[in-house]
Amino acid sequence: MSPAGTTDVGAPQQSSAVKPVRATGNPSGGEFAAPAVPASLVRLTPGAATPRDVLHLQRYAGNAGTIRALQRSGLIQRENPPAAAPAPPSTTPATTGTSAATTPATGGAPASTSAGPAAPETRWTESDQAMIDRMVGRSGVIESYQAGQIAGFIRRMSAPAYEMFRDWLNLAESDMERAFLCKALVANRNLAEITEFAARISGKSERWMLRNLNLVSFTMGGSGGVTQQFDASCGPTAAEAMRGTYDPIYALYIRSGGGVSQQTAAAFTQPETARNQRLVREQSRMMATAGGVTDDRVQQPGVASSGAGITMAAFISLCNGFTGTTGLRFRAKDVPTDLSMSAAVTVLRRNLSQGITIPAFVGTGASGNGHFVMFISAAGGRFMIHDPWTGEAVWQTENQILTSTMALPSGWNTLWAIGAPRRTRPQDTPT
Amino acid sequence: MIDPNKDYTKDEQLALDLTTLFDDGLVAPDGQVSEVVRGIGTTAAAHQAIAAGVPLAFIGLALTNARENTLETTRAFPEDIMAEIDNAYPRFAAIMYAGLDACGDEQDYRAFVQWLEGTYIIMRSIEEHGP
Repeated sequence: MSPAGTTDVGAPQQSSAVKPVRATGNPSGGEFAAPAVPASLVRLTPGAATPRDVLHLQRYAGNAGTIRALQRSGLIQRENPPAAAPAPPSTTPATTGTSAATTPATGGAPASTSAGPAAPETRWTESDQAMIDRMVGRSGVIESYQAGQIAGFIRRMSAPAYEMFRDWLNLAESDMERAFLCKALVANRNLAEITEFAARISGKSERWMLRNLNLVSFTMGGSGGVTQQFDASCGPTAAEAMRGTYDPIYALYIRSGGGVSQQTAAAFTQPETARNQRLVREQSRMMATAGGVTDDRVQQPGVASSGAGITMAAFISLCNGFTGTTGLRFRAKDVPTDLSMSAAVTVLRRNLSQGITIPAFVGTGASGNGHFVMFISAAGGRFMIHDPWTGEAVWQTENQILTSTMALPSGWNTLWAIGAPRRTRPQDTPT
Repeated sequence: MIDPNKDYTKDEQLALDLTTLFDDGLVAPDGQVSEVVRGIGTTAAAHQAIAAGVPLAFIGLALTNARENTLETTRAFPEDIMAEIDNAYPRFAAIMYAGLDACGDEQDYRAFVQWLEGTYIIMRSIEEHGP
């Protein structure tokens, strides 16, 4: 599982001499102040939010931010509410129904809770779908495979959960923010998790979201993705990259651990030196589960690594452990035993074009060793591959794959096996 | 003035004005991170962050992005590392901005990242094992 070579994963240079802009301070008195929300001010809409939700929001947005956010959502009222609140624009349901009492996700008006809960079939409107359609295909946001599941997930929500989720969509300050909320929903996250997530990404820039809500690098010239911490933990790392591609909450959790792209030399013998303890612990656990043996990436001179990789079957099993998130189950197909190379490329092209990632095993023609990677996307006859050895995402042409001349950062060049996907969820609305 | 040779109590650490921490620079003449920055500077910052309620995840994400950036990138896009801290924790943000302002070159910036890493590690240790 050792690579043929490694590359520098440093960030690209940016040319600007602009100095950081200072914070102007928090008018509520700063972080040492006691919670400043007068009880008389907070009137939560029954069934739409719980005190726990508000506490989560307060933790992440601060007192002033929480009050502003809840006021904007209509979940709390001012002592002297504005005389004329803007009425939500009328909408047309994307699916058949008799009424459309919901606010579109693209609208900036506060959610109206006086109209009563929307019927499940009218919850996802044409304007909602148009908003998602604008985001589909933007690398690192949401792909058609997940976008097609949103309407079904929303239709199956309980009325209070839907009202709360709708409030978060209305609170969001950009379509990208809304798309990530929907992505978290179809990744099977519960409302408490989405509430915390919504507060954390509220008002963030597109650059911030694309960078921090993925484990594959879409923004830094291919570098900066999740990197294996042990000598042979490419399988767990590729599975982590896949999970992060479907679940932005997971990606944010991992990225909040202090670093994802650094190559730890001695994560096994000196785990305290690892930059991200979450990564080390998770990869170690997944290696043990899959029957692998962890060892340091860098050995002392004259000492052979005792690390042992996992089998393709075990790798596929790890990926299938995230079926609840992905809605996919994979089956290992050896190339060319089970699939010809051209048939494997067809499977890659067909699925990647919809945003379905494909786990794969690569090697060389001569040795018995290999390496697990994750195919992430396809465009214009090229395929984006996340290589866990360096955390880089690189583009390879269809011809490179067909002729076993790939140039991956880890040095491997031949496709040996893929995980053929099967969907476990229905697609509700094709996009 | 922060005295690198003094044993500060926790209360004294909480009372330190850490916006002055970087006034004498981040890097010592020997090229290493200055003693006061990597010593009392990290422990006091960790205690102040915890007291302020700054979530460990916020510092962890700031650290991840700080590591991936160069000084030039961070100056161009300060929100890469400050976005979450700025929102709700202005006193701690002021410390971080003071550190960034003190960075004259990439070596200084790497020292700033090491200070942030030390702060994160101590916060994590305190949260996992207690003060």
